Amino acid sequence: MSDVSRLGWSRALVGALILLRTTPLLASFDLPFLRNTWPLLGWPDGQWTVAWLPPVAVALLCIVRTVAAVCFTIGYRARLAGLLCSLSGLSILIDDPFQFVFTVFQLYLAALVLSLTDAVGAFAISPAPVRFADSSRWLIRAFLASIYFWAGLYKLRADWLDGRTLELLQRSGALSGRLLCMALHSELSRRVAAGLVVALELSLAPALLVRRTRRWALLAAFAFHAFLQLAAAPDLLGFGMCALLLACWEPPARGRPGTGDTQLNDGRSLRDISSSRTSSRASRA
Amino acid sequence: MASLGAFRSAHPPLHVFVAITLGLLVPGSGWLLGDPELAWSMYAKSASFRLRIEVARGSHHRSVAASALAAAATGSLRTALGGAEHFKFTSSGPALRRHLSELTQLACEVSNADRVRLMLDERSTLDAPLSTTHREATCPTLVGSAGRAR
Repeated sequence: MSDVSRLGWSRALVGALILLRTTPLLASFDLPFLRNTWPLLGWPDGQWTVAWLPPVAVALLCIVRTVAAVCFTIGYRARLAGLLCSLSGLSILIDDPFQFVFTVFQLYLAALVLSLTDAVGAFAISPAPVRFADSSRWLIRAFLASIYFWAGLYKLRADWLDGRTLELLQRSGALSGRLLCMALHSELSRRVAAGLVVALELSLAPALLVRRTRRWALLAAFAFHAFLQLAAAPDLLGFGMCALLLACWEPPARGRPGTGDTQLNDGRSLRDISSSRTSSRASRA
Repeated sequence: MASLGAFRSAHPPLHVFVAITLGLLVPGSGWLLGDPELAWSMYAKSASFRLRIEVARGSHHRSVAASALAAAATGSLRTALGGAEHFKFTSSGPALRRHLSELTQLACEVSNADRVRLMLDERSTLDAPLSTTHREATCPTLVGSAGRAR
């Protein structure tokens, strides 16, 4: 898979996650965080609300978000679709702040970021021209690094570092699962875990931005989210983060011998250009 | 200077603008305004709040449970208000504070009172001092449609 292909994969995954999180596609699994997705997440129910947009407008935004997410996922006018999907979704969140969920917020912002990058130029029905592949990856890395930085910074407070917040989350059921209960069984283990999480998040931010440490940072981040997802199942946040991390993955050396997939300076491979030309010829025909 | 020039040529202005806005300004504004929702504070909050509601009809005063308001509210607000007569460890406190004036309308509608008084007690962390926000309102004579989904 070339660098630009990874960007395209990342876009398709984020689009698919938006669809899974905002529509009743996974309703049969009866996941607690997906119980309000019928008919679509944010759909007005006629009850008292602080929202100022008329219910018809909110319903329309929900439909626009869903149609745009489908187009964004398959790569049909993906730039426009990604912008429409994220902006309509964010409008619903801003209109009713009680609907705010970090996973959904992260997915909308991820769609916004990806729609402004060359992620719309690969793995798409109608790929846009690839222009700034390196800068696209830089932007995604910067976005991810900021998430880790702010998340780590917020935890630099006494009630997190001494493990009381973890205990609170555990008691409330927000953190559950046998693996996590074992890991957080004592005050000392909660204190150690809290410190480790802060250290990891604060070190991931610069490590993702520096080329020399990037590969290790990506591996550590994948492992971190995989552990959290398995141990605590925190909504689909881990999947959303991994979808973006995928776009940042870089092969060890450019121009991998024997693959016939030569990398250019802008991150495209000859295979990308070939497929892009084929699709543009097809669209002209 | 040379590296700045190289950076400018490698990154289109739109990418730099988006990185600064989403990476610094949006989370930073949440941090500065005391509402960490935009600052990626997921699964790390220890904030709590409690909503007390006092209503008066004529000379008769009584308390109304926040859960009574929850029953008449839309799904997302219902979750925030349900059980909020006791301290709740969720992050809805700042959003409730911002919309406390509007919530007086809901309290009027639910209680059918002449006057309502809402008191929101909040703690931003386990160690933070308790802060209370009050809102009072005189209920309109016709409250049937007050605050209804518009």
